[in-house]
Amino acid sequence: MKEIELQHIKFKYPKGDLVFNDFNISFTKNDFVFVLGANGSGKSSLLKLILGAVTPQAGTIQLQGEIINSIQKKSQLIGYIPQSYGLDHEMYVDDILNFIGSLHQLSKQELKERKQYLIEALGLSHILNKKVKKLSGGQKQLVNIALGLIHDPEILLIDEPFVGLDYGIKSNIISFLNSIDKTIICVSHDIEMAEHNASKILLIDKGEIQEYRTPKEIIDSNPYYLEEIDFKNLIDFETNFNTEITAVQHHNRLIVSCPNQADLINEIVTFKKEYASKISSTRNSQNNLQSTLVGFNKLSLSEKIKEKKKGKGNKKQKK
Amino acid sequence: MNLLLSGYYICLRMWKKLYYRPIHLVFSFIQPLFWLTIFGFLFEKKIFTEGGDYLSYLLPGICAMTVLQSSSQSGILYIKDFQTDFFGRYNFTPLSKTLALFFKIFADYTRIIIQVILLIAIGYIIGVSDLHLSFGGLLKLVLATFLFTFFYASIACFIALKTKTSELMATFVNLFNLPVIFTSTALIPNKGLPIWLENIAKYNPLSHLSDILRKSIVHADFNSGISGNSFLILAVLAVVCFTATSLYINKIRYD
Repeated sequence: MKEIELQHIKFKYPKGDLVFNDFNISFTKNDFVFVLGANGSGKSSLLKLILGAVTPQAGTIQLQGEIINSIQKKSQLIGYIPQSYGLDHEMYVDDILNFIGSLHQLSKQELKERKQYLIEALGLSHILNKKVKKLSGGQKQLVNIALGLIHDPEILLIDEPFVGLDYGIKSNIISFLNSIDKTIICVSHDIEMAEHNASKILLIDKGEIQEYRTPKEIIDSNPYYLEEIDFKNLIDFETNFNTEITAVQHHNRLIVSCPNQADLINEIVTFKKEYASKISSTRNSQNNLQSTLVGFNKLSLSEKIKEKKKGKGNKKQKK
Repeated sequence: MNLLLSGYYICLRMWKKLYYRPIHLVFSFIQPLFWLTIFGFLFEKKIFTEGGDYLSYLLPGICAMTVLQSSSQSGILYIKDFQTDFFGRYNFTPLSKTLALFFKIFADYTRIIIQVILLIAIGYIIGVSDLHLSFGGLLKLVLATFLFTFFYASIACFIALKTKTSELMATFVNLFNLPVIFTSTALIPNKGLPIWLENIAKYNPLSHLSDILRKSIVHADFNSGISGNSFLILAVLAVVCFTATSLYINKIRYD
């Protein structure tokens, strides 16, 4: 069953560039979709469209088979977990849960039950009587998630839930999200989390769908090997790899990928020798989502470096 | 019942803020007390009030002024909620935005009415002897304060929702409150004003609130010189301003 369906969406922000033009996608009930893409690719705009925070210039958005315009209905169906937490820092955690729960029109009994469930599931009991401003980033994110789920919505929209969180909190959050039967659309930059937890990956670039399949399907169809080289400092270097190899520089990290492992090793050995004194560490991986997306050039890791390289290329051409 | 629970938690949020930071409440008394003591005792012999002594005339005016000042602060919480993105969170809920606005201003009103009652008690302590408290009078006081709070707090909320910045909110408070006070009969009877100001004061909503409060809590029969049915005027202003703000808040997207 299609839980969310966007058809022929055309959308641009006032005074902004076109974000989507004839964009079509549907999400099935209980899907856990990770939306990946570079900054400005349209990930957050997709969430805002589903949420109704922005209106498309053309096209329709259906939730559970019907177009819903009323905020009342939509807010009952959707739970939204914003990146900015959206919390009143002067309130106590317990008060904020009661406040938002009551605005969702829960009865006293329903509110009590939902709160009890979320407190246990997310481990909030020790922070209930703390002011929000006294909480750590991870604890704030847990409260943020609890508020998004206080009214037991069927659809959950999450914007960058893992930014700035340590591994322990990330694991708690992801195992909790995996345990609930909801249609979850999660915008994230965390490729590793996406690979291991998503039922589907939606890869967007400049408002167009690049991939929309299971992580395994994406990896199997585009096997790539990847080597990450960290330099001690940010350096400028020339790379003369063969055409099969894709190299992307992200600050002081060089990510090199290739569909053929032997080719990659051959090329990298020479490169490593040349820059041995400047390299701090190297890692390699194969056939995972990161190697596939980077290697297949589907995920631009650094727009700035790309632009810089483009500039250099132009100079070379002039010479 | 669920609506009442929503209303209760909206009010509880405001009350708890006041409870944990009572300094705001304390400060809100300092200015009226200054007005009542310094201004009152200074001009007691200078300002002629037809029908009673000046302190008895001034106390209801100071109460009205307090209602004005406190109502004008009503939008500040919206600005804070915009800054923390909390507004977007509670704006994306099934509760009617109009009702949420109503409960929010009602919570402000409960604080304001307590301030007014405490001021009357303080007035009694410092020697305003002409007080006449009756059930009917208190009912009028409660209703008039309710109407004025909804009128002026709606304007303050509208400005907060529209500008979203505390600087512009402060400009509104500084720009409007003092002129509204000095072009009213809150501090000085209409007869003591220049003719051109007398005409403005007749229609100033603060004059109407002051007049109702005077008739509600003071025994003396002051001639404020204002015209029209004060309750009706305040009710119309409250309904118009609340409706305008409510229409605006319903237009705000919940990003």
